[in-house]
Amino acid sequence: MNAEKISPTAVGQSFALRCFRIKENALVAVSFLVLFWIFTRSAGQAFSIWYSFLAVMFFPGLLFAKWALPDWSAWEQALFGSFVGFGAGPIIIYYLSYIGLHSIQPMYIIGVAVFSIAGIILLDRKPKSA
Amino acid sequence: MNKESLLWIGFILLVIGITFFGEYRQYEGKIAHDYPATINAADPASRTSDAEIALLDKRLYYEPPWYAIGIPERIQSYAPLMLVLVSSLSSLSGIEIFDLYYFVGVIAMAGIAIGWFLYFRKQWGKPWLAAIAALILSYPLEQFNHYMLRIGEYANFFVAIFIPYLLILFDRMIKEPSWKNIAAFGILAGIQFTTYPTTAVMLVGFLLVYALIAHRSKMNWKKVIIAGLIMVLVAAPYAIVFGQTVFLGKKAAGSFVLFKDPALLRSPSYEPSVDFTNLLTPVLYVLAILGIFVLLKKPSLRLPAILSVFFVFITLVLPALGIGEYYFTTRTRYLLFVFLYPLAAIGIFTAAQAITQFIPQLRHIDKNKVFAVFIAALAVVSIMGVRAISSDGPRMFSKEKYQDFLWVRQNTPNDSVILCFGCQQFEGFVTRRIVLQPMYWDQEKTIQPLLQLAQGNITNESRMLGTEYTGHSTGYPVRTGLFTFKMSGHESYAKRDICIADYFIIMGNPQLGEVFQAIGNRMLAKNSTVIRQSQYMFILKNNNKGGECV
Repeated sequence: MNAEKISPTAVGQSFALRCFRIKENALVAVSFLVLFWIFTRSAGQAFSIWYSFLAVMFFPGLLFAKWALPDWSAWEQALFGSFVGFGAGPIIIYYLSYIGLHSIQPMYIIGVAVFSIAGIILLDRKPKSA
Repeated sequence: MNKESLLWIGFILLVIGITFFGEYRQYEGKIAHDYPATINAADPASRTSDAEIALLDKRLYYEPPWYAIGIPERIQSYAPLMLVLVSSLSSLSGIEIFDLYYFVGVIAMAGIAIGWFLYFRKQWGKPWLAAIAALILSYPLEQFNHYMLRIGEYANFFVAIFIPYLLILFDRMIKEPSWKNIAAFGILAGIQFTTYPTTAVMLVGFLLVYALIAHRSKMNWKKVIIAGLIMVLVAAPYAIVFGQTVFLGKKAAGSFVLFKDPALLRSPSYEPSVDFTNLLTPVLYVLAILGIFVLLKKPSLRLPAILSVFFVFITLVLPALGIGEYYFTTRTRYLLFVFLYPLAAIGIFTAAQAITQFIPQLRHIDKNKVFAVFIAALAVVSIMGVRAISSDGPRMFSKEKYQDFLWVRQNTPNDSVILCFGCQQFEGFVTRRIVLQPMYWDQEKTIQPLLQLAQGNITNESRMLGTEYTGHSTGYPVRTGLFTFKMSGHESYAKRDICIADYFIIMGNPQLGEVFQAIGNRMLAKNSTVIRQSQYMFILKNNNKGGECV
């Protein structure tokens, strides 16, 4: 499905494109942060809530989006993922807690975020087949 | 930066800007402002309490001690998304859960708009047209739920956010039933189950039927079943807990009788009742559009029509005949709108066809434009309808009344017992306290003792008042192993000595106001002190707790 957008033959081009897509994803994340920072500042509220938003929802959702919708643009993936992450992040934590891990703690939540970011990078580095 | 990226940025700014500034401007710009979340319903209050104990205890199974039940290992059986999300955000940000639900609702609202934008953009390929459709489909929904009018409003938001995203994956699965697309759909459908199980299951069932109808020549039965199995697998741990609540709970409590009140659609005590304003809720026409897609893609209306009639039969006809069951009737009131959708779509389709058929001058008009006009008209009527809802009534509080209740939360210690005369679902404001409310429908346990107290016939018996307290009532699973449970029940409504309360709230009431006032005066005579007085209420501190307070 990805063959039209990412050439399987031009390895260099493909690598550059993958790098660009990672950067574009990062750009979306930073855009979210900046936007939220502006709104947060204007409202006089704690900025930390937006880090939380990214950790709990954005990154797991983005990982899911990149896997499920590889032919979408990075913007589309980021938007899809950020709100699908509403379910993806918390449900992981719910199940961790269910099997006895006391997971409503920053350490576990950050773990989910780090795992998701690693997955995103790995997914983008994986060579696409035709 | 190319034009496409600029369009995206513009749309994101538009949605977030409208949502955030629109929502928070009127609440002094506070993003985490709790007003007007948790107004008026025991369910949101209980969810807030559940999430608070999850955060405090770092676990998702524990009975909040302020429910005064004190049973550990109780499994949280409500939609986990609502509990986990706010617990997680609170854990990371340090913002109180009480404040976070409203914030999460607003984020969900932005997500709903963006989801519909993505969906229609993929359908139509025109970003700005999709943006307009997205805003039309999401704004009235927000308006309708903004004041948290209905018990279960959180669920509405969380269910709604998944509809467009699920449809996107559904479309992909239909167009290319690859294993990945099937798995992606199944996973998201399973996650959606954790938003509000009944709705999600029904919706997924509807979508799968749509798949079989519209694309039966292409669909591979085995793959459809596998998508369903993946959904079940993802949702299984939660589904087991939920199933225990529904089925074992029914046996344990013995109170889940066949539908007990056929007045579901008429009684104001059942919300939402179906009337002109809320019949045209955005949810209704969101699915009307889906229904149109069904009809456009497949000329035969037989199967979707049968399906629609089936769901309407379950939610409307069976209750009217006195036949039904708790989770098929009371719980499915949220689904009513969903299942009326295909019928609404058929109506719109028929009307549009009739107009173009019988008015020759209009025959050349694109049917899609006629649909668009109908949808826009529905949106306008819906917005007008929700805007007409009073901002201060039995189901909604004015800002002043809200400030009173917030004062109680800020000025009473955790775990204190508050008895409120004349409150309507006041407990939503005071999670982490035990809130007792007299139940005025009960002549014997409540009204008679109230009259006795007001008249000065104070006895140990008359001080025993029929009251209900915050939290769950009957039938919830208590964990005994990883996948084994026993059911436990508790009667939340019972006769209790009013003097066990630490605080009394006395509000105005058209029928019982003078009775409350008389009781309040007798409490003052017994050494209670007024700690707050406002236009709406007196708040008394009981200085004779456990003794003769009245």
